[in-house]
This record gives sequence, structure tokens and C-alpha cells, in this order.
Amino acid sequence: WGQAQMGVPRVPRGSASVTSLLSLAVTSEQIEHLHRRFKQLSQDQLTIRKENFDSIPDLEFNPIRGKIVHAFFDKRNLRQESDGLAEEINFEDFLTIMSYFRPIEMNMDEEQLDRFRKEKLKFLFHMYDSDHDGKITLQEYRNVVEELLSGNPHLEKESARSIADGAMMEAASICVGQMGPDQVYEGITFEDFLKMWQGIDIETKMHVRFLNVDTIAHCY
Amino acid sequence: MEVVWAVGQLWVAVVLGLIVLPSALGISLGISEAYMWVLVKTLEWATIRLQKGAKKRQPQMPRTPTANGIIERDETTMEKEIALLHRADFEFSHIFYFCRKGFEAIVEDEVTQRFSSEELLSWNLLTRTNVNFHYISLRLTVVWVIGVIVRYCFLLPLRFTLAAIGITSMIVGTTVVGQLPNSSVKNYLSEVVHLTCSRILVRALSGTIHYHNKENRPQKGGICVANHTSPIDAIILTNDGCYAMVGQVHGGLMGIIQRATVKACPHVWFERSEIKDRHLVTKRLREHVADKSKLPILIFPEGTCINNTSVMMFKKGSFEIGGTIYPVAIKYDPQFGDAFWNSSKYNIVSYLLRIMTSWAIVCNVWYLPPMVRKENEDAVQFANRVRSAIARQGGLTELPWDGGLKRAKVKDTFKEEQQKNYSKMLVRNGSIG
Repeated sequence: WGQAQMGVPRVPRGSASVTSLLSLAVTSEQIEHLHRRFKQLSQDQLTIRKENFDSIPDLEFNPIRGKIVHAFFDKRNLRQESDGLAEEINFEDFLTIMSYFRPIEMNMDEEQLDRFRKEKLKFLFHMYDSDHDGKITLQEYRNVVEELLSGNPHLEKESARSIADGAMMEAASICVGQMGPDQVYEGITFEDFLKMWQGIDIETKMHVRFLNVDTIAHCY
Repeated sequence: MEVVWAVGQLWVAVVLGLIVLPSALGISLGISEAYMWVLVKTLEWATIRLQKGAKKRQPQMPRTPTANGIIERDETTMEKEIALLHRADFEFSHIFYFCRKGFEAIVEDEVTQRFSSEELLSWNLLTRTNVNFHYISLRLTVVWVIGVIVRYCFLLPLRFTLAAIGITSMIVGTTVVGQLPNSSVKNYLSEVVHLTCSRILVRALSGTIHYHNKENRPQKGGICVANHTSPIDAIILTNDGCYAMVGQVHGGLMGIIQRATVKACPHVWFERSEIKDRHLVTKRLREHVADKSKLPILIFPEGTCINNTSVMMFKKGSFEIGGTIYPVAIKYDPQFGDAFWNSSKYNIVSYLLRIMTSWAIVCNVWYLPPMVRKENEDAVQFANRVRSAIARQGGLTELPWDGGLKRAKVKDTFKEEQQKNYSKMLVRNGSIG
């Protein structure tokens, strides 16, 4: 307690810049919560590695667990210039990834909303596009579907494939329209991806909303 | 020099007269009640100050009280949600659901939060719980400083003295009683010794315990089962009745206590090697239970300390022994002191130190009606039934997870279950073919 006042939250120095990074009102309480969670996951170290996510039992159930964890270390999501995967992330990076799941605020204007939506979709796009070439190919999509269905002995690989192929065909028809018999569909680019989701409200499906905890009179 | 001696004598006289003697006789002088009353008033005042301070800081933000978490969980089931987003064969929608669930789990998961202390909604003037709260006013600080002085300079030595007296008298008393030949007199005396020492130890923690439904108290030849929050659970229960403890043989002070007490009363202590052999353990416990003159055994089926907001999976071993199960629910009030032992963060000594410098340990103990295993139930179902009863009475949530997750990873069998669920649902929706 180097501070004269008691109980000032012990969040690291760099976090003043973090709030500006998040650019919308994230309360300091939420940052404190996330910081505590970060410390718990990192076991009091300054950075998190992939292995640290193994300690979350709820996450084990998730079929796309691998992709989610991967997303935390994907440099494209961390807004870094370079490409590829980071070895470890610090608290600022952690918050950057968390910011993709911010809920919409009441006071956002059109442009902000649009940018918001694009960011969330970009995050999702990166999850599919595992080789970082800017396109979701049929093989990449098949990978995702297989992962979703992994572990179920009753579902054969063939069924997974046919689901993937069916979905790709639909995507192609939305993006390119009717294709000739010789045309090969390269893959879904980000613009096509955006087109597919036009008109569908994804913002409310892709957020994690914090509850506001109040110091209510809890004694009797 | 003489002054010190006189003060020392006075101190011992006060402790013996006001605390030890009444506990031996089982009566209460009302000192702890007065203390608790003052404490409650002070904490109420502090909370009101904090509220006033908080209002000044952030005037208008919608606030919602929370029971058990910091993020809003969307309770829509997997099926409904995917149906909502489903458009022809579009599997992208499924990713949303799992992505969000994944993030929710990363921000806060139901299980690991049980292995750390419960967060208080209102500060109780202990430094250690001061996580969310900021500097409010001078008066509050002054009260807090007084609190620190009271706790560390007055309460701590008092409690330490009492604990020392309690443990010493337990060892000495049980050794003496243990010399007697087996008879009803011996049993009676051993009960008296155990009860007295328990009472002294509870006062050493400034414990205020409310027992409910005493008519359901465990009888001889039964098995008492309770949720586990800390090592002092056993003392809380033995304060009101005598039990035969079950546990592993330790070294050190604990080992001395174990060796002394087992002479007076048939506690069941296992060597480390014996614990691994489940059949041996079950056999010994069965023999104990079969003897209707022996005290009920006390077991904590969770196997590890949980933070008293939920009840985790009960290990089925205790429920295979047979006999009548007497469930007991223990719920601590976190406002006065956190009883949870986070064994990965604190060792036993620092844990005891924290307990002794809290305000008090306040808890409610409910004795539930006895339960027996039904004809068509197996041990696991029976364990779950008992667990539900305990959770419901104590106001705790039930989690199907294993307390062993504190240290180990999720078993693969659990994972496969969930994945099977998901694929079954896909097939049903006709997404295939």
C-alpha cells in the first residue's frame, strides 16, 4: 500500500492507455474484474500462455475451444502489424481481445455501430481463416465443422463433409450468384463474409455484458 | 516486574473465569452476544457511509444486485439459440453460440470461482476484503484503524491463549480418560472432555453458531455428512455433539492430538497407505457403523474445501457403507470473517492467523432429517439426493463438478457427453444430407 488512500485498485500502470484503447465507456470496475481474472488465469504472472486456458473446466466442454484460445494469440486480433501467432499475451492484449465482445452502448451513432459490427465479424472471420490468407476455403470450413462435431462417434466424417459442402455452396450462391460448371469458388473473402451477414443482427449475439455490482446495504 | 506479574495473573483469571469455566459447564455469559451486537451496528454504519460515498461518485448508473457472478449469463439453451439464428443449413450461426459461451467461461467460470473466497457486496472493514472499495471518508478510516488495533492487539492474543488452553486440555484430558478401562463412565467422561474443549476452541474463534432442528441430530451408529468449507467445520459440529472423526494420520501437533483422542474415543484414523485401499476403508467404516453403541462418524464427502457458495460432487464412497445418513448443512456468514481455506494460496498457519484476526465466525448449522438409500438407487444417485437436500437447506447452489478440479483437469468423459449432445441436435434439425 504505497498509496495514502486505502483500497485503490491495484491495476498495473499501463492501463490508463487501455481505457482509451477501448474507446467506449468501460468502467474501471470492469477492468478490475478482468484484471483479477487475468491474474487468476496467469497464476500471478505478467503474461498468459496457451496452457493457462487449460485450467477453465467450463471451457473444456466447448467444441471450438482450440479456435477460441487460438484467437487470443492471433496477431491479427491483437492489432499488431505482423502476422502469425504470439507466444504469450499480457493484460493489455487480453483486454484487446475482450473488447471484441463489448456490448453495444446506447449512445453509439451509425458509423460507430457499423465499425463495431465489422470488428466483431472480422474476429469471427479470423477464426475460420486459419492460414491467414484472407479467404475461407472449403477445407478451412470443413475443419471448423469437423471440430464442432468432433468427439461424437455416431457422426461420420462424411456427414461433417456434406454439411460443410452444403454451407459453402450456399455461401457461394449469396456471394457470387450463379456459377458456371467450370468456375471454382476460391473461398469466402471478408467482403463476401460481410455480405452474408447483412441484415442479420449479430451484435446482440456476440457480446458479454457485465453486471454492475453495487455496494448495497447487505447487513441486516 | 511485579506489575507485569499482577497483570499476567489478572489476565489468566479473567480468561479462566469468564470463558473457560462457563464453557466447561455449558453456559453462556452473554459477552459474545454483546460483542456481536456492537459489531453489527458498526458494520451497518460503515455500509451506509460507503453507500453515501458511492452515490457521490457515480450518480446515475443503472444498478442491479447480483447473486453469484459478474457477467450477465444468457440462459437461452443451445437448441433455442441455434434455432433462432438458423437459416437453411447455415452452420456459421453455431459458431456464435460457442464463441460466446467460450468467452463467458474465460471471463468467469462457475467452477474456479468456487475455489476462491466469496466476494462481499459490502465492505466489512477488513483489509483483506478491500478489493472493490475506495477511500470514502476520514471517519471510516478511523473506525477501520480502531478495528485493526482491536483485532490484532486485543482479540488475537486472547484467541491464541484460548486456543492453546483448548488444545492442551484436549490432549491432557483425553490422555487421562484414555487410561480408564472401557466402560460407560469412560464414554461419558470422554464426551465431557471433547465437548468442553470444542466449546473453548469455538470461543477461541469468537464463533457464534446457530443450530437448527436439533431434533434431527445424528444418532449413534449413523453417518453424519456435511459440506466442507474449512478445517474448523469439525469443531463447529463437535461443539454440539460428539462424533467419531474419520481422517488420515498426520504428523506434528495434529498427530499428537489424534493419538491422544483415539485412546478416549473410537475415532477412525487411517494411515496414508490404508487410505488408498478403498475396500479396506469401507470395511473399517462399516464395522464402526454396525456397532450401534459407537458414536456417529463424521464425513465430508466433497473431499476438499469449497468456498461455501456451492456444493460440489459428493464422492460415492461414503454412501456405499450403508446405515443411516444424517445430512448437515453448514453456511458461514461471510460478513464477519471468511472461513474458507484456500489451500493453494495459504498454508494452515496463515489460515489460522487470518481466522483469528477476523471479526468473528458466524454460521448456521441445519440438521436435516435422516436419509436411507432406497431400493432402486445406486450410491451415486443417493449421494446426489443427499447433496440436493443439503444445498437446498443451506441456500447453496449445486454444481455437478468434482471438487478435485481444484487441482486436476476435466475428465474426457464429461467432454464427450457435451459434444454428443450437440451432434445429436444437429442431426435432429435435419442438417445432414
